[in-house]
Amino acid sequence: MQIKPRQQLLDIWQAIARHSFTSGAWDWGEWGGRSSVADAERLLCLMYPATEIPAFRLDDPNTVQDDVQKALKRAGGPMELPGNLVTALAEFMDQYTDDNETPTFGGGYYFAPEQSKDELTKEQRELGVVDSFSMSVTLCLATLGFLKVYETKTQRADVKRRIQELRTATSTRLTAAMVSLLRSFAVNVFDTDSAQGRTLCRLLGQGRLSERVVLQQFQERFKALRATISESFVLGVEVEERLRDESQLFECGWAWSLVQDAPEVQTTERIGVQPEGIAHASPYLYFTVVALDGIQDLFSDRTLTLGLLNSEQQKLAEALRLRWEITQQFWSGIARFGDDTWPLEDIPWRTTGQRRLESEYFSLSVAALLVHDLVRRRATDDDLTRTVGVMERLAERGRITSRVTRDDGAVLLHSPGVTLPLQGSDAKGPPMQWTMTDFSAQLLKRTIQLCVLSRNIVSHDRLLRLAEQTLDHLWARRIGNGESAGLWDNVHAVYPGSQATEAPLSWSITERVTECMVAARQLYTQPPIRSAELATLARALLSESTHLLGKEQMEPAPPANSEEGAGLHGIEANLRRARQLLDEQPGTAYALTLGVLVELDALARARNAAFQEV
Amino acid sequence: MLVFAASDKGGTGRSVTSANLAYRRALAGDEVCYLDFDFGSPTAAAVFGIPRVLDGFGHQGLHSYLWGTTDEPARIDVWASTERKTLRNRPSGSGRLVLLPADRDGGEFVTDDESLHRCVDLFLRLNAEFDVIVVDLSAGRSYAMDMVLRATSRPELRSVPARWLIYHRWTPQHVTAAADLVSGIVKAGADMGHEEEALAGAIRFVRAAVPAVGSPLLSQVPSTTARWMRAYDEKLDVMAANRGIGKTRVLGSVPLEPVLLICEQLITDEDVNGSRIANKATWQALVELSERLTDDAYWGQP
Repeated sequence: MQIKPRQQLLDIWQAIARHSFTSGAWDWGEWGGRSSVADAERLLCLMYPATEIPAFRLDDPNTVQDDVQKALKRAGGPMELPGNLVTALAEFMDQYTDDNETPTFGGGYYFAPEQSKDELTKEQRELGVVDSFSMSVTLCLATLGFLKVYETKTQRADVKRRIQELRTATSTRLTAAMVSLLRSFAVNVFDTDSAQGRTLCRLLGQGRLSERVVLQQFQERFKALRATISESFVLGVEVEERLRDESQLFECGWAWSLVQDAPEVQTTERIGVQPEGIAHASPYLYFTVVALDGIQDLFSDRTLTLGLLNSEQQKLAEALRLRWEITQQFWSGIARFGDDTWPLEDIPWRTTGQRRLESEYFSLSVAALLVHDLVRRRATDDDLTRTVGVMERLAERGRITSRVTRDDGAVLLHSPGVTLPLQGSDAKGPPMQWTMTDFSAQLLKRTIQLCVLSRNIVSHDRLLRLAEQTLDHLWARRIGNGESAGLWDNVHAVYPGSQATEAPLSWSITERVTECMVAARQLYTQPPIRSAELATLARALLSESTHLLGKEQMEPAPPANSEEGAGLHGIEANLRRARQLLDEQPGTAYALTLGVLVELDALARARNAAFQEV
Repeated sequence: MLVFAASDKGGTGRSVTSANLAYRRALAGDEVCYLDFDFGSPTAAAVFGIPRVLDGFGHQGLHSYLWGTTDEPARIDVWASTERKTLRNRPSGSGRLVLLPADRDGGEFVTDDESLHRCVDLFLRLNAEFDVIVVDLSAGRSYAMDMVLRATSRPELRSVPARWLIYHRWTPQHVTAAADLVSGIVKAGADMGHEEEALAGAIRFVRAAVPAVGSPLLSQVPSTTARWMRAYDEKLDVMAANRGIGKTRVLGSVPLEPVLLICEQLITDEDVNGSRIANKATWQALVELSERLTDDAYWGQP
């Protein structure tokens, strides 16, 4: 299936408008109770494309494009739509702010008990989760940008007042989300002899290197990072001391929630109470990826040009940026450890914390971290090409590009998904777990990101092919009928043997597919890959045709207004255009020049024919 | 309700579209009258198929009324007087459709306090009798326009709802001209005692003779032309938005239509479904326009 971001996004929007708006008002629905993650994901399905893609802007009713308008017809006419969005966003901000004016980030029904017989406490459901912090950063930035424009376009006093209130609430939530992200960042230091240390050594050495050699290489490779971490971050005294000890291994990234004993972040912004953390200070691959995705929006061009952050938020953003960069460098180093096969290429990945789970999902998470790093460094095609192979193998093993067998274990990856125990959650009740079902969507997103980055025709083509196949698979997983028709996730459609899910629809998958489509736009906004071979050929053709045209023009000029004269002018114009396109689109230049050569030759043959007659 | 139809330039199809609007409202059951205030070139009668309108009446048109030479301007029942057969029979359930023509040899004239007074009086009387009063003004700023602006600013007419339709074609020049015309109207109105915001809020635009890509008439254009048109359309949208006449202030747009363009007449259901000389899309656009005239959703602020 060809990737057509505009059409496919409009399809998604139309389905959301049908599902979520009842005569213009946003309908939150009842299923499963509320979850700040799900609700933020749901709003982002609309707000993210609307802020990232100029053609999808909804903030100026006067320039909303017709196809967008048509897709969102159920959500209100061009005049009401922005107002309806303001109402929905305000309801969201209000719902997730408690009585003490503190923004909340509860995981709600996304949390599940590890033992199905257990019942989670209300307090547990209200625990903040990194998914929510990260989604809130993206959603708040999208909202602030949206309001900035819409505010100048409306004349209605009541709307202006509501915009004002919403902006304050959004800004507060943004600050709170940033503070929470800072407080859930974790550095975990452990000994090579500990269980965790042995797993990491095995992972990095892949059975070829001894623990001693691994440790030595680890020390060398992460010396600078180790120093930066211990100098720049406020860590507990004990952790800091152990981190300075070169014989200790470490890892960094995001825990699932606020880390136990994480100190409060000093800020002059009023964000209410900063709750106590309970999560163990061990980073999760999944939550690290999620956090990085959100944090990067803080330094996007859009955030900077629109000036969406105030000075206090800028300070927090700087602190997050440091963690963002260090984490990427660290995991990118881990993924590509050693001189031989990368640990990442040794699928499936084994996690070091969290009871040593192993799954293709974790390989994908590590690949995602690597992609983040490649994008950040605007890496060349060398590292990228190796990653392409990993992506293809993951798609294969995840049964996206290959057929399912009977009782295929790979199906479990999609349904019921991969579960993570949330360490420390038992402080408030029975132990909780988190389930990820977004393997395919995650794979598509990273494939598209790599594809955008690649400037090598072969890798680009492989990635595009893979992205198209993955989209085929995802598109087939849309719900077929009912009020959620056109949204996700109906795993049954592609894996008939999978367990039926009870959730009517998954906002997390729907949001991730939307993100994929937004990323896919980048595929076509940049110029096509320039082929050096074609450019050489086109240049040679251009030289020949310019010469032949010059020769043709040595003949007596054709009469004015004649067909012949027009033909020559056309040839001149085509050659001019070809020369203009030579660098950017050598293929087009090539084709234009070929046409010119045919025409010139027809003229030459005609002239020759006259002489041969005699 | 008073509905003033103005246009930035000539050739926008103001008269013919407003006449169709009046006709649609009457079909829908409203009592409608149509005032030909295009004093320089009064032609509205022809649109309704009543070309010999004032023969035998002498001088009893709107000119004569405003000058004070007659106390009651001539009224013509369109259903009964039209020469078009398909219009002749007033459909059941429809309201009256009355034309108040101008004098044929009247010409543009300077209005004074006396004519202003008579104008206010006329509007008041008509408002008591009709649901919709369409006042067809001439292109650009005219004496007639100033007179109705002045009239509607009077306390007697304050309670009578008034809406303005500005017709313009969908070209850069027209967009600019229409935007300028409106800022002129609002400014002049404010000087005469209108509340500026309320007056500006009562103005909507009608895009006329729009060559919409995808309309049946243009379905055969080469793909390059179509692509160019779409791109240009977007450009015009942005331009219109910057000029303050973007989509939120548009009441409707009427596509390019040979029947309107060539013979300037009312488009009846027979023209669309029977003889099929007119396009369904045009008919649809006219129906929408007439419905939106009183639909408050289209008259709010963005």
